[in-house]
Amino acid sequence: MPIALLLPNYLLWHYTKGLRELLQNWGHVLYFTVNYFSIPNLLMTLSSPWKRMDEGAQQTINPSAILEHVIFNTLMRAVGFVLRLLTISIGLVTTAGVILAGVGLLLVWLAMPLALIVLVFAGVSFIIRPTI
Amino acid sequence: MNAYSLMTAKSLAVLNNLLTGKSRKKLLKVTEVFILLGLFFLVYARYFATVPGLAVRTIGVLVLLLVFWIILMLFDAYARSYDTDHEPYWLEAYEILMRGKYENDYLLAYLESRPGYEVLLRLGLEATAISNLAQSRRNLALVKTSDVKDAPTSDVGIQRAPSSLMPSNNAWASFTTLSHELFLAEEDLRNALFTVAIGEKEFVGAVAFVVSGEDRRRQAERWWTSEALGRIKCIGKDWAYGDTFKLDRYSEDLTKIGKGEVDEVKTAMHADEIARIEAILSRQSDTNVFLIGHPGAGVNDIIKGLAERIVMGRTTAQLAHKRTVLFRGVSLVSGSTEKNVFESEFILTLNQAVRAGNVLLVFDDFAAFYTSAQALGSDVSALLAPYLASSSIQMIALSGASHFHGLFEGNQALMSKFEKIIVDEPDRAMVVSLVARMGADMEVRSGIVFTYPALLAVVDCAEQYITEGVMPDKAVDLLVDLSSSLIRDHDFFVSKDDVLQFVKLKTKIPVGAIDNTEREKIERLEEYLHERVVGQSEAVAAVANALRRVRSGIRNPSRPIGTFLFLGPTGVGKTETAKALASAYFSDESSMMRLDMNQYKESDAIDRLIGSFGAGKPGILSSMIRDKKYGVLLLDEFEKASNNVKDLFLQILDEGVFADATGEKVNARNIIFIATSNAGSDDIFKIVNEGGKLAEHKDELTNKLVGDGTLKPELINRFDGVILFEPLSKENIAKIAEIMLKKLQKRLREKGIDFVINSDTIEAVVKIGYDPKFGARPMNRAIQDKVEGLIARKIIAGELPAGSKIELTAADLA
Repeated sequence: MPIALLLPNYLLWHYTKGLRELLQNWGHVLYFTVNYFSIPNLLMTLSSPWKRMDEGAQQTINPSAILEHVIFNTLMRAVGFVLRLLTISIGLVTTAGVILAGVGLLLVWLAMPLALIVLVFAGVSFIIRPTI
Repeated sequence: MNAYSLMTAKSLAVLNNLLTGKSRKKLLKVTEVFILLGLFFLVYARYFATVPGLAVRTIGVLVLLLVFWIILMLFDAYARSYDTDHEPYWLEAYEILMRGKYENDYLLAYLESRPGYEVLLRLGLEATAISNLAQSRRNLALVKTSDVKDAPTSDVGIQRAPSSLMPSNNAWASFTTLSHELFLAEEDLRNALFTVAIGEKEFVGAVAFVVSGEDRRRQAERWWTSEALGRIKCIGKDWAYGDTFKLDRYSEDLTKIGKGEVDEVKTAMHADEIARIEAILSRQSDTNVFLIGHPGAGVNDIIKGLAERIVMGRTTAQLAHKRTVLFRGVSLVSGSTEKNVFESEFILTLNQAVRAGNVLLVFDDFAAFYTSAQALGSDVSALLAPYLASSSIQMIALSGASHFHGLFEGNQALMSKFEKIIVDEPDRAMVVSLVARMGADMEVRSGIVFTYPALLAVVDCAEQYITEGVMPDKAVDLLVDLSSSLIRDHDFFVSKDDVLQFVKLKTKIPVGAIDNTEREKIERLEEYLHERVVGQSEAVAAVANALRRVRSGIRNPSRPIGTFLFLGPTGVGKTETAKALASAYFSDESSMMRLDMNQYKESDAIDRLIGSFGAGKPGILSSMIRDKKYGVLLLDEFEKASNNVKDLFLQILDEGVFADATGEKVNARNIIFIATSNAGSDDIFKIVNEGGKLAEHKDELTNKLVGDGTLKPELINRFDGVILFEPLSKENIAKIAEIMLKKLQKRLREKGIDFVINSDTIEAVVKIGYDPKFGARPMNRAIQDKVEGLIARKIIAGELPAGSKIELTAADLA
């Protein structure tokens, strides 16, 4: 009976190699999400000026020039900080989503063989006795 | 293979028997459509239908459909899961072996498997030929079953498949190994393939082609792998680095090149070079690279491959955030009218790149940039010096080999800051795998199907007959041109012959199948030649045989078509033989090129022949061969050329290629070289006058040429044949006179005058025109002076109106 060979083998795969690959692929997607939003990179450069739009050290002692320099640099750092923080936040929310989805998928995966049997019974009973 | 491979294979084989991969995919799609329809129906049943319980029943059906869909998905994941651990078609190999064992015929199982059938189709075997082969195996099996004793058991299958092939200890042969073993063991298979000129090498190549095609299809489906996800461009990565508005105007950001633009095969071909560049760029000091090689040989592919590795985060920590920028300096120079404008713009651009902090600056065609800046009076190396010294920015300069040697190699100050890497042309196997890969891509896009021999023919023809460019670019170009032409002609199954026909059209070089007209011409080549060359049977036979060798495809492709040294006195037909050959075989006397070698005896001879880098002049010989890739090159009075020139020809005659002054290769492998010389004429006269046979004195004559230093022995050995031309006899001369007079007769006939050639005329011409020392050369003069002169006078006097006839007598010619 071919099915007798297929089903045990499938189940073995489902809880060993299949499960391992599910976790691995989940890891890939998680790594991609963190990487996509450059979270570590943005955290390390959180207070850097936006796209290096700062001005080099002033050689002059002209107070207004120094003030202008300080204001401009502060502004650029502020712009960089806000944008980075925003991106990090979106990234963290997405990462959390991926983690939760992964946990959900893992649970579904573990329960799948049994869940399928239950679903078949449920489906059939809906068809046979629609009023209950 | 892991512990449960064998069990898994059995189980997957069961799954495949129930539902093949393709059916699973189709069924999944159909189920999805039904689920969608079910959802619409649910909305209808819930809100509009009045039948009690209809909505719940619909939910029940939908739940069952969902279960079915999930089961299909899970089985698909189960089947795919093992693909990554094994070579493609691992399961098919198992099935072939099991079926072969069961039916006692592995070849039949192979022929009836999907990959086995595809391999044979790819090798150009017709579908009917494959089914005939399968049928013959089935018949043989029937014979065997009915009469076991008489059955030629060794003919049926690999009766005892080597134990290494068979499934045992959780391992069995891969599809590649199984195919190869079958080829070696099965005469039927070899014979069938022999009919389409396929040997072991081509068979193994085709198997690899089919296997790698399947591998790529599998990889393309796997979007969730780290490789596939890594190709997606991230956001925010360059926010800590500056913008480069000025640099962007003159450059291309290679980190933005999309998926599919970087060819994996090309990158793999240059994995070593890319690794070396990464190592150099990751060092503490002298972190600049000079990449030397022809653009077509893969220099740009290396840079793109490097950029991709950086984008995918597969590089060293030092290069992790680098932005690879291909800077086209020439456009900066061309936008500047003056030296000052250029220099300030260039410095600003460099400063911006330094300030950005993550730019890896690649100078595209550094030589062109350098020389065009030089034309404005600017020294790029001096401008770059402070940047190179401070290590504030990393650079890669790209340059062709000739320009590198000519412009930069001697510039110690500049070169001390660069590490040079030379990119060689890839070997044939690499080019084949690249062309196969490109062919597979085209198949997906255009619906064309290439046979494997067609792809091999593309590589071989590009190497042999396309003289411009370098490999692998010229092979890829040929493939692209070929497919557009085939799409135009609605020819979607490409065989080797299609490729050869296309190359014949493109290059005008006769390759591929010989048609009837050409066949007759080649078979009767001696006759054609003898219509113009009188006597000289040895010479005529030698050149005719050389051409037959070429056209039959058995010549050595790494040498010129033929190389001959014609030795003999003046005016005996040496040049005429070359001309007759050009006219008879190449259909055009103008396909004969000629160099008077006595003009190349001075010290500048080499420069004139192959060009001069300093003066920027192209060479006569290199231009001649580039313009006319296929024909006869006559090297007249070869012995008079300087020794350097003779040494140059030593290489050309041997390898069929030489480098011109710029270092570019010139391919002379489709040329027949005929060197003529009248050195040793006195000895030839002496031997003939004493009644000796020239052929018997060939060694003696060539030894004498070597002895008196006329030609070096190694040069004489490079010629396919040293052909001795005999002095002309009186009979020969009379025949030549007749041929020449016939030419005049033809010209006069065009004017409506019938010129009758009689023995008096021939004798008179021979008498005046024969000079043993100059052979038939004075004959032309004699005909002009005597015969043509006489007839011209008569025409002018009005004695020869159109329609008249003229026959000269001895008295007229006296």
